[in-house]
Amino acid sequence: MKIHDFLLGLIIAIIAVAIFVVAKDFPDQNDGKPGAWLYPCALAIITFICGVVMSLKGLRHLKGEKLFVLNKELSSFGAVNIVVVIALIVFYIEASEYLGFLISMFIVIAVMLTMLRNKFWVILITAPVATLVIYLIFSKGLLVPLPEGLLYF
Amino acid sequence: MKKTLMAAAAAAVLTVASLAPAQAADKYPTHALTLICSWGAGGGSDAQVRFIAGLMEKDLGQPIKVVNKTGGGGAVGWSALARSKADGYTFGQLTAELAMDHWITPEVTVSYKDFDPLLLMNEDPATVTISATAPYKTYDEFIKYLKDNPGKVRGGATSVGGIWHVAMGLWLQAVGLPVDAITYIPTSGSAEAYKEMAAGGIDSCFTSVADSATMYKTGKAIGLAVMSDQRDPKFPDIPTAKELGSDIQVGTWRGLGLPKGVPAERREILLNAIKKAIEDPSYKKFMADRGFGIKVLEGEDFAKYMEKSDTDLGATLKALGLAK
Amino acid sequence: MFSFDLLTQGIALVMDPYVLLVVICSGLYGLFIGAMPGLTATMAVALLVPITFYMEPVPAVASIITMSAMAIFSGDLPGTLLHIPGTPSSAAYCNDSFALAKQGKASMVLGVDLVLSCLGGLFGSLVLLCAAPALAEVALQFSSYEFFWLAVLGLSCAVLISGGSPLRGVISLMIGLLLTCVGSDITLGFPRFTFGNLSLLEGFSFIPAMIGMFGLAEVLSNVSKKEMHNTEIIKFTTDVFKGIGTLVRKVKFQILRSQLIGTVIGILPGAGGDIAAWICYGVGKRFSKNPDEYGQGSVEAIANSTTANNAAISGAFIPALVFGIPGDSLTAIIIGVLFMKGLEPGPSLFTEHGDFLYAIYVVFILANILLLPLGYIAIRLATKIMKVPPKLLNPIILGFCMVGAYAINNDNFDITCMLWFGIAAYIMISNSIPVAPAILGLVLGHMLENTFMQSMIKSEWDPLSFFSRPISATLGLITVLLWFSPFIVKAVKKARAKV
Repeated sequence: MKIHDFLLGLIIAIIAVAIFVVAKDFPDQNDGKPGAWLYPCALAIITFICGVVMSLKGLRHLKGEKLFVLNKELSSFGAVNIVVVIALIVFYIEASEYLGFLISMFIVIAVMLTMLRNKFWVILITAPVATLVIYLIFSKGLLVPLPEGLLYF
Repeated sequence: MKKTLMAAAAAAVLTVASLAPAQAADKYPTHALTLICSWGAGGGSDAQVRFIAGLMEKDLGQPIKVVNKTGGGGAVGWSALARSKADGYTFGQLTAELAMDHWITPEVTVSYKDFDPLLLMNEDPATVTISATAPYKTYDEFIKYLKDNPGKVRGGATSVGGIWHVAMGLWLQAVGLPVDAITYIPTSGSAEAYKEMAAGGIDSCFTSVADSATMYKTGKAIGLAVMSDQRDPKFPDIPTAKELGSDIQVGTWRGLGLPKGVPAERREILLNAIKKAIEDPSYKKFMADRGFGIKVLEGEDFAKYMEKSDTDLGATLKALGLAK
Repeated sequence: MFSFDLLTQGIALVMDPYVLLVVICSGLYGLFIGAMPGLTATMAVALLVPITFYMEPVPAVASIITMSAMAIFSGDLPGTLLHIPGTPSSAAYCNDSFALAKQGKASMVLGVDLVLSCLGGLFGSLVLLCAAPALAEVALQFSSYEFFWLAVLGLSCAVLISGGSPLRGVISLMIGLLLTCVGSDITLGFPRFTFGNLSLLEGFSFIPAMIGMFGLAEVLSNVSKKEMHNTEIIKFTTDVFKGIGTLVRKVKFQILRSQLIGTVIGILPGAGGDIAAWICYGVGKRFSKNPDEYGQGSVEAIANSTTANNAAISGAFIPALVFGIPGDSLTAIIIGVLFMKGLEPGPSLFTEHGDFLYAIYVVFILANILLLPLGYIAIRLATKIMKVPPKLLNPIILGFCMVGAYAINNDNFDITCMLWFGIAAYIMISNSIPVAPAILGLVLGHMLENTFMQSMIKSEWDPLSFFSRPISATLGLITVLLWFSPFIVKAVKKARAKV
């Protein structure tokens, strides 16, 4: 989604101000010299200026242009797809400790394959195989401790 | 494409069959153990636990998976260890930072009290090291220079509040100097500190012998004292701080511990495996080659050691103005 | 200081069947690790270390060297084919490689990557061979002042690499730099922007951020399109090595320049292949005849950067071998391995163990030469994988991304980071804000602040101190000139036109 420069610049400037407000309370060094606040505040100021400049530039074009323009290539399905992918990632993060890696990852891959309209038998084979391959590479090959969950593998 | 998928499916079935859990036996341990290391793979702490784990596996008859859970100055790994199931299958490495983290960062609540200590394995004492290009050459000259020029000497070793920074603070107090006699330049580790020293950016460093060894050998740095009760075998010419009049011993330490509440018999088996491993000549050679100091304390003694460390380091952190 | 006698001894040590076997196996292992987004060479080496306990010194160090040389190249494979860099060093030219791959030129790009990685690495190895101790002395003159200018120089390249609007480039850079403020600050250890979250005390891990900003953003972009192409996007139309000779001849001075800059940056402890690639990209664009192509699919851009990151690897060994000072975690592990084998870095390595030292040089050269056949095999394998249709491939990619992000710290929190970075990058791209400067900001952010603060503490807040040392003054001058050069050039042209 494309946000108009005027609005985008404003958003950036506001975020910069928020960062500055939080950062200015960071402490000095023990001898009173500038400490933890210096760098983030300096960056926040530069960002604020950039945001304002962007907003002012956008102000000139504001008449007749939309504030939000949806990506032309984006279909309604496309937007749903993005939300599903994000939801799947969140699902994995929450569920992997309880269900374990194998089940959670299988669900993520299977659902995403379905969403992309793969044939049923393709999903049936690809999802478990892909999950297993990832498992073997990371857990057995590289000794990365993937969450165990229900299946004590 | 179809053929590949069918082949892959066959392989998948075979793999699942081979992954079926083994038959449970009666004797602990019946399956793999987990060792949580709070430091990054490849570092000194990680190297020590991986070596020990490799030796313990032979005695216990089960694999030990070393898991690096880094972050928060070690706090992430230790929190995970403290919260883990007390069934004897998860244990972890405890290091000096455990005694310091909760003083510096209020959000860190985990401390040595949350663990059942098994064995202290290693202690690397701090050194008093100066740059070869400094105007002072001996221990006494250094102290005199510091007294006459407060704040002029620049020191470094780790990030602020790190063990070597605390060592510097303790040493200054022990020789009767104020803690700001040395201007501390924070770095992200001893390697960076020595980089700075070679480039002329800092004049003194208080890190371990192992970290300083090459700098001594290349003549870029001079070791004036080592803060332990014995001289280092690799550098027998460097006196201990005790010999020079200030009996301070401080350094980083590493040991192994369990979460609280593990059944006594399992604890015993695990402890014996560790004790057996540290007697192995290959372990002793490993520690000697890498320059790690061996110091062993068991159970209760280890607990007292950690308690003293916590109190002493806490006091110095307060003096340095770093404890909250 | 070059000794033929020691060279022959070194070659003899390496040309041992066991050593060669180890080298080839590590090479394949390195190729694989580099090609997986989320797996770093450092992780792979840490896992190799217990195995090296049981090896003799030569094969132990040979395995690590070969592995890292291969991994730096193979990081280009997913970068080119999937727009997901396999290693941070490949991030600089990822956009160019992918754009060219979409035009059907994937083979050519990978061929360029392969050959130039080899050339870059060979140059670096030769420098290591001839001048290690001397260069180490120079490298050690770099203190916080010098590194500060290096960071500023690197970040200046960010504006250069941002393509279209400089304003958007600066905003992207600020985003990257601000993100590095999260975590403990260097002066006090004060937790900034952590909101009580322990996992953030050390700041954002770079790899999950990179996977999110490239990998996840790419997946989101792919699934959102109206039509998911049913056939493969990347076509391998030409042979891998076609046209290489002509290309190399055309850009030979740029290649040489990148080899030099790459090796020099690699020698500096703390600056590695990723910074080298970015700086050479920026320098390349600055002096290029076709600067507008950069970012859209410029072979020249790729040539400049991929040479540099391989050249930097051997450079990192110089301070490690001469002074035991590691440049990054990988060299720290190497130093540890050397100690364990009784080979201490320092003068004794050069005087008493000359044969072992030359064996290391030989391994470097061998590894880079082996890059050609092994890398070629990797490219052919990659082409097979790319035949998988995108609607099947993207879910698998997502799986690898998630686990790759997790594997760094074994922490699910990193997957959350990946998610947020991915969404942020997707929004940025939709609004024509380039992602590359943000990545560069993430890479250099800590170096910028830390060196600034260290320098200020050392000099008691005297800003002129940044020009007080010869090297830092020179670097500072170069940086200022680089900034003002467009204006100076314009002014000179105007003056000439008037005359």
